[in-house]
Amino acid sequence: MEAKLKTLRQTCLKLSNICQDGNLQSAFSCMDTIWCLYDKIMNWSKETADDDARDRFVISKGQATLALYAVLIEKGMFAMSDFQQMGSFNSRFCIQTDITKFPEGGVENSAGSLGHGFPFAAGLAYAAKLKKNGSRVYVLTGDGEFCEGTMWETCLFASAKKLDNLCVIIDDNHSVGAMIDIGDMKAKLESFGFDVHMADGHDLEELENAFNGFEDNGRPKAVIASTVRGYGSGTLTENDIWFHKAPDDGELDMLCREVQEF
Amino acid sequence: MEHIIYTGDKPVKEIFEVFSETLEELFHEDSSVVYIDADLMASMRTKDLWEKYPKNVFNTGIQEANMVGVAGGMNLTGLKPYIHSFAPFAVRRCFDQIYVTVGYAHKSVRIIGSEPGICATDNGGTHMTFEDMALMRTIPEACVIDISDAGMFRQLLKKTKDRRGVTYFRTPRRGLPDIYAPETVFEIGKGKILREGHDAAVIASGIMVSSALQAAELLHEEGIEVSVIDPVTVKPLDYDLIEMFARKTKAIVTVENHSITGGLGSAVAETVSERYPVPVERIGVYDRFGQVGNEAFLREQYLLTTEEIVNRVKNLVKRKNEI
Repeated sequence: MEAKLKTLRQTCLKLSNICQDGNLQSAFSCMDTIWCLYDKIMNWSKETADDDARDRFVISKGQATLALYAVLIEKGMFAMSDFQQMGSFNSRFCIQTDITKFPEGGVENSAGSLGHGFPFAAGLAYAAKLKKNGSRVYVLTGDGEFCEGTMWETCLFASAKKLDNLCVIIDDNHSVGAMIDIGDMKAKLESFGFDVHMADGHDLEELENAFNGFEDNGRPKAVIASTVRGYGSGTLTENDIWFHKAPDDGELDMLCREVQEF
Repeated sequence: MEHIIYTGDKPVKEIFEVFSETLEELFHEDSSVVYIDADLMASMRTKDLWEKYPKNVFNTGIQEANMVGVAGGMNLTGLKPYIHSFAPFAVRRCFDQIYVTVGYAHKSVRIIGSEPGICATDNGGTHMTFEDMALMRTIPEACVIDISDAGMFRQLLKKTKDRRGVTYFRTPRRGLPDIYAPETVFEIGKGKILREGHDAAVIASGIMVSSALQAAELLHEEGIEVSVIDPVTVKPLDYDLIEMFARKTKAIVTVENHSITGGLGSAVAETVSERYPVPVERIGVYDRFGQVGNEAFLREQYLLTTEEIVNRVKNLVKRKNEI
């Protein structure tokens, strides 16, 4: 694993240790996707974070907010020292993002309730089309989130409105199968009129190729990123107690070392 | 007056324990009882039931609107669904499905919305419902229960098994102190008198019942004697009981973990203004959204403290005596 991806994961661990909350398994599964978008794909920088024509990243699976914060710290938007009270009511860095606390940009949506980010992102993409400002919108969802009916309403809308500037990334960490067989997502999305690319969600080159491989052809985009919950730490991957558990100081050291040696 | 056992200590059993136990009893009493969840079984600690009762327990995944529709369909075939999610997802998200598929269609579905209002704590604004009772009250024939005690929850889960229409329970998952003696009998539409005093009547529901009892004790030390009423069901409200205490005390204070618009305070004010108008003070959330915080912080933020009840009662009693 690239050194940068290890650093990002270690930042997630530190944030989780500070706030004693957050979903590390989920953050680690989509960590590489979010980094790839901000580092290689999106027209975004901290200097242009409030520019109307910027590309936008919407975190619909708000449970992975730790990963977004880690990327924004790495990109200089925020400093680690800003997060000392993360998760408390004194901090604007909530466990799941709160857009009202970031008027200068950096966070694009309020997360927490699943099935809301995708329709919201479609609205952003539609507005960009109306304004003809060239902005692209990337929205990260979970595989389980596609159980929500609103997701399919958005699929209809995005296709009907020809939102080829909208890209939905499904962080497919296989969390939904235990409850309901969601079937062939690629075929489903294609039947709705999406261009769909598959990628290994832990391979930056594959991710980059998937995002760059789309054409401006009037069809909305989807990347199905095959991922592993907790990827980068054997402990997080193997034990579901880490679905919603924060490390204490001792566990923090142990997990940081594990990530370093991954 | 009710026999109460309130000490403020931790309850003998938490709500999530009572929920699993009661469902299990219901499955044995009536094989047509089913429990459906939308991927919050881990939160409600019902995963064991899912494994143990594959014919009675179902998980739709994260799709509350569809869950309500599925429950309505199941009820049409004679099954008796109990469905659960966090209150915002159980009510706010799928209100249209509840209204149309269950209410309008006269289906029989029990909806358990957990962690209402400030009980959502660190999950913050998206999870914090100050409007769930207001929404559910407007559905014709719906029953709205703001749970204040584990024994109440157990008994009313059972008693509503065959109730037609929408039955809504809002309840925390844990930390609700025991209030009622084990032999207490609860009925839909019947409120409880927890304390009697002639200066004012404090009508409190859900988690605010224990705060009202604490406030009553503090007021007693200052020579002010208040009645404390738990309506049990905010809809149907025990109209006769409310009227009786309006007549007795001539001063009403309502207390709820909810917006003062559309919930308990509104229901009581509507009743009092029509039957026997006296001053009504509503304590609850005043036109605000939820936010992240622990319970103590949120109580301060939204004026849901014992001190607030004490002060508002004192002001009201003073005002009453000046009239």
